[in-house]
Amino acid sequence: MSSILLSPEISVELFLEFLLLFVLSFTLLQAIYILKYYKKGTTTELQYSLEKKSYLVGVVIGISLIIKIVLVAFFAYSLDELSVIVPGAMCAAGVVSSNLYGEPLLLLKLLILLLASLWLLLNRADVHVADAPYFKKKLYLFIVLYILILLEFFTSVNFLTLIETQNPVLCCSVIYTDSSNPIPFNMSNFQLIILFYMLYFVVFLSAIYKNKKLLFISSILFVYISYYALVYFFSTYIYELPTHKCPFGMLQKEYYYVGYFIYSALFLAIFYTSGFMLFKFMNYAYKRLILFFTLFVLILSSYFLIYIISNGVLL
Amino acid sequence: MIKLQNVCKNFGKTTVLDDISLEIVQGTCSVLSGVSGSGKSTLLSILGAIMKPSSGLVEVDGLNIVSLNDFYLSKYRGDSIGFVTQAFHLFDELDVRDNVVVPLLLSDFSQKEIQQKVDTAMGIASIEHKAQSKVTTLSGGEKQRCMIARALVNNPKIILCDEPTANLDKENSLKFIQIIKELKESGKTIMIATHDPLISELEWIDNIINITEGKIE
Amino acid sequence: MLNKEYINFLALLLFKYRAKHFWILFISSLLVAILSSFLFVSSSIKKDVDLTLSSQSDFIVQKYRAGKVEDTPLEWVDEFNEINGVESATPRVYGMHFYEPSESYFMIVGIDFFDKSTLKSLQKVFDNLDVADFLSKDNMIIGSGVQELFDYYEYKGNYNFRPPDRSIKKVFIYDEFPKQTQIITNDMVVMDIHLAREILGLSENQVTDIAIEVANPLELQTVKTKLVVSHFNMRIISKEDISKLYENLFNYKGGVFLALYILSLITFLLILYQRYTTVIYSDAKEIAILRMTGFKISDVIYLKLAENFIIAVSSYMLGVIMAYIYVYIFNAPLIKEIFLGFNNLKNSVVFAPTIDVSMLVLIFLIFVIPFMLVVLVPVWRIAISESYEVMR
Repeated sequence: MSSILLSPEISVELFLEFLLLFVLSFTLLQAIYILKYYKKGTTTELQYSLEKKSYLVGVVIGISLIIKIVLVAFFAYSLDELSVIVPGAMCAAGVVSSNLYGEPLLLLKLLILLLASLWLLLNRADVHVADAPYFKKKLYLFIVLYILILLEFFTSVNFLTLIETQNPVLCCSVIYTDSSNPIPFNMSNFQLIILFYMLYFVVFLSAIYKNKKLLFISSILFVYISYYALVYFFSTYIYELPTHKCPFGMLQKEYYYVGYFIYSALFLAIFYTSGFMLFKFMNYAYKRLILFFTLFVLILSSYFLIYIISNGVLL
Repeated sequence: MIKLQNVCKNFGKTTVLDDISLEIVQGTCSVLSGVSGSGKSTLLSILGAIMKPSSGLVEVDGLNIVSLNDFYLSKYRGDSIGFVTQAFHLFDELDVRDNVVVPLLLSDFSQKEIQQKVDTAMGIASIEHKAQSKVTTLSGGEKQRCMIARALVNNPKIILCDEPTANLDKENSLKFIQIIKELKESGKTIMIATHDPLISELEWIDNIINITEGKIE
Repeated sequence: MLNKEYINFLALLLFKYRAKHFWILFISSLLVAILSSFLFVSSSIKKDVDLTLSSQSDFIVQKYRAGKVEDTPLEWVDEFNEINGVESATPRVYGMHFYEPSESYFMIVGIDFFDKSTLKSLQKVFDNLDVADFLSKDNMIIGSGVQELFDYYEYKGNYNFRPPDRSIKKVFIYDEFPKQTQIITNDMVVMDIHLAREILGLSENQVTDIAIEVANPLELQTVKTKLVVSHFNMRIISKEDISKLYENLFNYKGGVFLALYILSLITFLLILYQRYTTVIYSDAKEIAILRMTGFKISDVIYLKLAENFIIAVSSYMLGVIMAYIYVYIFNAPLIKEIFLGFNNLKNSVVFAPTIDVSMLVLIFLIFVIPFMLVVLVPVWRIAISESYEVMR
């Protein structure tokens, strides 16, 4: 166990996570205190001091969340590095699946990433309006985030300490190649891809016409289908190998780190979609979400098309 | 027009201002007189939106500045108010020009506009000849004029002075008074907290407000 | 909002008030330099190890009985050669030789020069080795540490070994191993396999262990399984295991150090916090001026944070540059001993300059992030202090 914890990347990562948690814990106390006593519009000394406290709270949370976002990228990188030490792992997929905590940890981190970005957005909007309409909402969201971050820390520690350096883990070729069809509704690859593009157009149109209900449904479906499309179809064209189906390999140097671009585009698309749907001030976001969904689809499609054009056959 | 209604300010158990109500007309020059500790500086701070009163109303041109949060308060302060204090609040290690430009650091003006404003302000305060001099090399009077230039650079409506002549000799005090007179004539609203008779005995002063132990006489 | 004047102002604040920031910059740079030196040394060593290990065989098989390694039977070699997937199974002869005067060991390695794969490995290191010439008499190739030892004790050109049968075996020095392989070859003595047998006291049908090369790297697991089932009094060490062993060894030392560093960083941060929380008159005055002229509390906080961020980044860059010079130009005295202490003979390794981006990012994160976090509260404290206090 200790070899994992002692690799520089992991120990730095854990230390920084702990530090952030430490700072955020104090901030949580302040936030709760403010929430309890803040009465909008009153002008007593208490209110002034609460308002002043809220600036600290705002800045601390802001900076911490920015750091958290950076750490997520760093974590992805460290996972990849870990695959060298963990026997049998050829990329992050093996590491993540090496114990029970891997996948929950990943999901938690992504959720925190999304909520943190939304918080920062909310904060920015709040500061520029006279009566700070999101003041309380901001703090409530922070409390939710704090709980998630606490959970994440313990999951992280558990995950890292339980990684075995003795027994080999499964690699993506085993994890993602099942004899039974893993694609939902037992679709073939062809059907999956058709659905993928169809959903993309629905998302595109609903964003253009600013139809929030349709956007909500279609974007959720799209993201769900994208996962499968990416792993079981497009990734094979990125790796140029019909048996290599893996969401993590594309984060490696051999593939020019294209994974980071693909996932960033998808994440930003989800982020702007959430912002657009939740906040009035984010009405401009429909353009951005279209941009990023399109980028995501374009990158994937181009790998597919380039392969077909240069090789003339399907995988 | 500035209006104060039933303004009180407490610091813990001490009441510094007690039920202050007054009205100041635009374009006038008023003097706040009283001994040290009578609450002049506190009143000035509240007028200048640096401090909020414990209770009461502060209205400037119809805008109740008490209810504004820091964002709008600071914006109001930056746009509408210029301060001149006795303690030479200047960046000692920087030169005059860099001190004068501070209120414009967060603005959206172009480089050219900023330079213009700085030059104009330094001209009115008669300090342009010392633009590149470090503040530590200036005399008391020159430092005072540097502060005036900074106070003017954003073309504020209101100028607040706290004991401006306390550290000046007679010659510089007169120079200061001359500048203030010009500013009044150009339409600015001026408020000077002082116990210097040189100022309070000027004929062109519009009101004199006496404060004793936090109350107006 | 960020106009030229603002940036100019920020630069002026930092430059004109540099005395204020000097100590923090100095101590920070030093801390970064120390951390970076350790990380640079560690990664250089890793690279050297990887380089030398790349020519190692995939598996090493030893006879193992009652928890101890014994001399391995030669007949196993043919058995292993029969296994599918095994490209070659080569017997190896080596052992430690104790040199009494300096109380140090060096390692005698016997090589079968007529074995293709062994020759290939050796030729990776020595480009044009004249085998015939080498075998014309009792010759050896020695590592730098051994050469230094021989020079010190004035052995010129040859050395007398004393095999267990108490005879004397004179062996001539043919060549020295190149510096890049020093990490591993430092205390090695390479000679013909039969000569080595004599000196180490092994009989004709014994070897120290057997090196196995597997043609297809994907087959490693399969071959290992087959080896394991062939005999049960056997130990198998794979190249992967060795490289992981070294990796863990260096990580271990790195980890211990990192822990110490984090401790000192915490102390430093506490001092920093302490220093910043006392609202120095000049700082308060600065803030008062800014607030007076229309700066929001958040503007003040951001300005101060920008100031501190620049100091943090500057310390980082200074520290990294200092570390680079220390490690790659002065060859890291002191730190080198800590890392290479496990070697027997004095190792005069030269670190090859490597710029590992991930390492640089790591150092940046571990330094700048705690720095910024610790500066937050003092900066805020200063920002909210009511300016009127300083108006008098």
